[in-house]
Amino acid sequence: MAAIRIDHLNFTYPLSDAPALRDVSLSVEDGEFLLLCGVSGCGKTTLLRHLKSALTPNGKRSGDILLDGKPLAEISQREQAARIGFVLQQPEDQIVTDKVWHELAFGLENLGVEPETLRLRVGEMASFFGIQEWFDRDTDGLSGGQKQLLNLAAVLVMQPEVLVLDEPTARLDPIAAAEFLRAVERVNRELGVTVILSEQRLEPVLGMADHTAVLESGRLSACGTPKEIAEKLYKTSSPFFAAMPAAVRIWGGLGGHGDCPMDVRAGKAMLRNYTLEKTDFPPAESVAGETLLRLKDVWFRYERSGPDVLRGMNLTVHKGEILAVVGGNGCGKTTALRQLAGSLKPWRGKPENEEAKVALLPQEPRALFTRESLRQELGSGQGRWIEALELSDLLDRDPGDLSGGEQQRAAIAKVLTSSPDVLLLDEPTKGMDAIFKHRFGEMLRALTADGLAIVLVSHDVEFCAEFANRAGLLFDGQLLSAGETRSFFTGNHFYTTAANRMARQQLPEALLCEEVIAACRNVPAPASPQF
Amino acid sequence: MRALHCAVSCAFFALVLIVTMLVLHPAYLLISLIGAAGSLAALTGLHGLGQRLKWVLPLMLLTVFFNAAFQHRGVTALFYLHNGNAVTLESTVFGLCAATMLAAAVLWCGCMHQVLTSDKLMALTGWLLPSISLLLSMALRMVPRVLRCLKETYDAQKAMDGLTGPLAVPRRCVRALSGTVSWMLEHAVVTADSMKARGYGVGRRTHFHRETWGQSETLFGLTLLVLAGLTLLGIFSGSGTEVFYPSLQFSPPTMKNLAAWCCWALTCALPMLIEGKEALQWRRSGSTI
Amino acid sequence: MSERARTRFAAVLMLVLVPALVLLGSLVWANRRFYLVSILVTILSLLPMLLRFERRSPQARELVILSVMIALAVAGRAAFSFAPAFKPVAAVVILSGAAFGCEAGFLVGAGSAFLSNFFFGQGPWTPWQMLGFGLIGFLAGLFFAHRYQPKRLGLCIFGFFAVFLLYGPLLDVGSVLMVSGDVTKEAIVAALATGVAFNAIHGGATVLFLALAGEPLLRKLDRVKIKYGILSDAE
Repeated sequence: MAAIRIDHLNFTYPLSDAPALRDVSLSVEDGEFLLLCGVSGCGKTTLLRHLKSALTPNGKRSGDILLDGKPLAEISQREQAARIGFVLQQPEDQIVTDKVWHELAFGLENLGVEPETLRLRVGEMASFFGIQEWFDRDTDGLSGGQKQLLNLAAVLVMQPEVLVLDEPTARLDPIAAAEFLRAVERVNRELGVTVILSEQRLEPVLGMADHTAVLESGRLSACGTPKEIAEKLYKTSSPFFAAMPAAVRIWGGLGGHGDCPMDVRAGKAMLRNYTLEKTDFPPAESVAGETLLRLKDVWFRYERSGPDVLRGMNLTVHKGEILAVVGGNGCGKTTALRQLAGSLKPWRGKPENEEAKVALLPQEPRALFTRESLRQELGSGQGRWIEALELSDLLDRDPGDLSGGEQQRAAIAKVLTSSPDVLLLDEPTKGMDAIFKHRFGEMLRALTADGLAIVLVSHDVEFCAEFANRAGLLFDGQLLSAGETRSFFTGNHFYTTAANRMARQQLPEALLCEEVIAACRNVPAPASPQF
Repeated sequence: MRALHCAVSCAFFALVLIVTMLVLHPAYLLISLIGAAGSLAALTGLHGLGQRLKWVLPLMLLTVFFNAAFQHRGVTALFYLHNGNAVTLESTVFGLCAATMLAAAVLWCGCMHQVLTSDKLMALTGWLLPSISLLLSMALRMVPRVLRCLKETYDAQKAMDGLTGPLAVPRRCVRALSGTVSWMLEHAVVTADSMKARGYGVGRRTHFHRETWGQSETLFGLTLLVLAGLTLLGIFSGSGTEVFYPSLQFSPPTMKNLAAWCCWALTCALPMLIEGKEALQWRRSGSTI
Repeated sequence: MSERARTRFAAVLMLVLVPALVLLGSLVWANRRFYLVSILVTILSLLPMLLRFERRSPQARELVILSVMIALAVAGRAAFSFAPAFKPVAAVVILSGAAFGCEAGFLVGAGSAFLSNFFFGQGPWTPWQMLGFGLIGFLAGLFFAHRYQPKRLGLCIFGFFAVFLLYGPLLDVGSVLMVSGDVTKEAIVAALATGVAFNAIHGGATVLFLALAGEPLLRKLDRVKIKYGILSDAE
């Protein structure tokens, strides 16, 4: 029997003409792992929220949702609370109480579970997730990944049959995200809990799911195993195909023949069937503009007796370039940016600034907004940026009501009001979907056309490889091998694009899917144009 | 002391604080002060005690001065002020007693702060006022976030608002405050959803805490009960009577009164005894390894 | 009982019954155990509002918004810990009361006093501060909550007097009781006189915060109220 069945669900938000969900029918078997994907604003969240009455938005609706064959409307809130677990996107905001142990107990307290039973269940779940080591801690001191894991555990103590997760890794770095998804996979495999998960970054999760469903503007456009989905999206030339993993995109670019590879290993095997023609890739457009900013042998630590975060860091920023800095968690990327911005002073070495105005966009762009409308925030005289960043329609909105991507753009417009020479971006692509990310990269390029320099620190190797002029790896407090983008990434083994990892034996200089596709010979059919 | 169930430690502190504030007899106050200081030293070390004494001692001086200067009752004049009011022995002694009472109360509060940490206090309030306890726990969780958020917004404003002049800092503070409020309220909506998703409001809540009641709690509770009974019996049978005005009259150190004072002394020594016992147990268990 | 009636009941309890108890206490015990009585009375006077909140099982949205306001007041006190009397706590409490009503104002006031002392040290002064800030929030709700968009001037005047004439003197009297245990007119006058400067700075700071941030913040809180339909006094 299907754990969850959605029957011809239609939904329209109040004050809106266009329906957010159109005739969605979907069935999830008991113990299944379903991946729900689609671009931002396609209705993923709206659909998932319909799976729990307490979170269902107001509006006009028709159709049925059945849990174990029984309409959701007939199941009491109390029963739903226990049977359907829900994890939201924001790790930080979901935490209710100040202590880890209390957070784990919160759900069971709400259900009125007696303390003896409660103690046992909490202990069990803490052990399952390895939380016992930080059981005593304040929730505020946890890392983002730990917080999200705690949210997952806090839902699972209630022993749900169905676990719904709405983009749970959007705010996590790739390593924490992978760890979180592994935990979800364990819950599915070892506890047999039905999982319904929505996700932007498909690469790590596509292989875990039994089935994948794709939503396109509120309509279910495809549903099936990941391979079937890849094939269907390719055949229908769906714009969402651009969000597929690199191996799938190359497979599509080569005409979609044979078995669709889902990961780097399979993609590599596929490429062996082709000969990759040696191509002379031009180096990323080198911008040898004047030097605007320079860190020279900079040392920094936060506390006098603490460890050095930066240890003799050297970095130069030229006019009109995009410089990307990649690196693991806690390697000092944000610290380096704040050195460039001048908001932290090094204890040794000196940042040299040739009178360049520097603007920093913090990781949380929300911190920039204090007024009641975007128009007030931006003031006048910013017409050009407002156009370029596609903000004209948003000017009268409250900055707090904007979506993540819109906030990011508005924040850039806001920092540009001080007409800076250097723009520093801290993890700008966090939580963006693949399609918007590409547009965002184009916007950044357009900004550098008039000589603005952009420095971005990011976990997103693919984005940096596509849009940066120069790139470097921050490790052990130093910037290692900052150089022209192509030579930097092709020299790496791990910090490089998936396309490069697949093609490196035959064509070590290729970085992007398009480049690999263009170089492939024995192509049986012309390449598809969607990329 | 920290490992004990919060109910017994709370009962202990309630008893000590009430008796300290109720009985202004010098013997009781002195015992209480010594007990409080010793307990604080046992809990936080001599350094912690010193930190507190740094501002408790001036407070005591102020209290004595305040009473001597503004209270002119009493029959034994020590000297006369220029406005003709007398500084009396009685008001000075009263000041000394009040100062000791205040110091003892503050030191006991210091001990309480060490023993009844926020989650123990929440466990306790949760029993009587579960919603308030949850509210406080939620607020405690928000405090560091709000601080971080205030700092982030302030820094972001500072980096780009270009304000100068004497009003720059207050205006920036207010903008940071205003930005923080709306930012945090946006988060609060998600938190509320997360609460509802986990069944908040579907029925009667239970209240979970990590306090456990074991043998040592029973032992401590019984000891406390006996000592409290004896102490209160002593107080009501006149072992702690004091009259300050018009002239000083205190219960004298008769055998019966001495016995009552001993009970009180034993009560005040309980934290020290427990800490000492725990230290000894720890040392012993260590030596066998 | 309607919200209005309940509010009135609580007001009677706090503004009439509590002083009556103090008076009774002072007569029965003469003036000897005044401090203990006063602390007990203070704690007792906090109870009705707290119990009332318990009885009606607050909604999730109310709880999160109250917790944000409390955290804001506590964080504000911590952020300005370098300047003794210059604190935004009273301003935040007043705005909470003005936006969300008497009960919310009281809870934010009492809660922030209680919690901030976890960071600054609990002591015999805690109940006094709780009552003081709680009363300010309660009165702010009484004066402003039924009006749409209170004026800046009104808020500032209320803020100054609430701090200068209510909170400050209440705590000064509390400290007289703490220090002398025995109340004479001279002692109270002296304590009030020494507190004037401190209370004036505190009141001035409150006015400054209310003048600069009052209206925009109230607009934001009102928006939240309308958007989520919470904590409004209409039932």
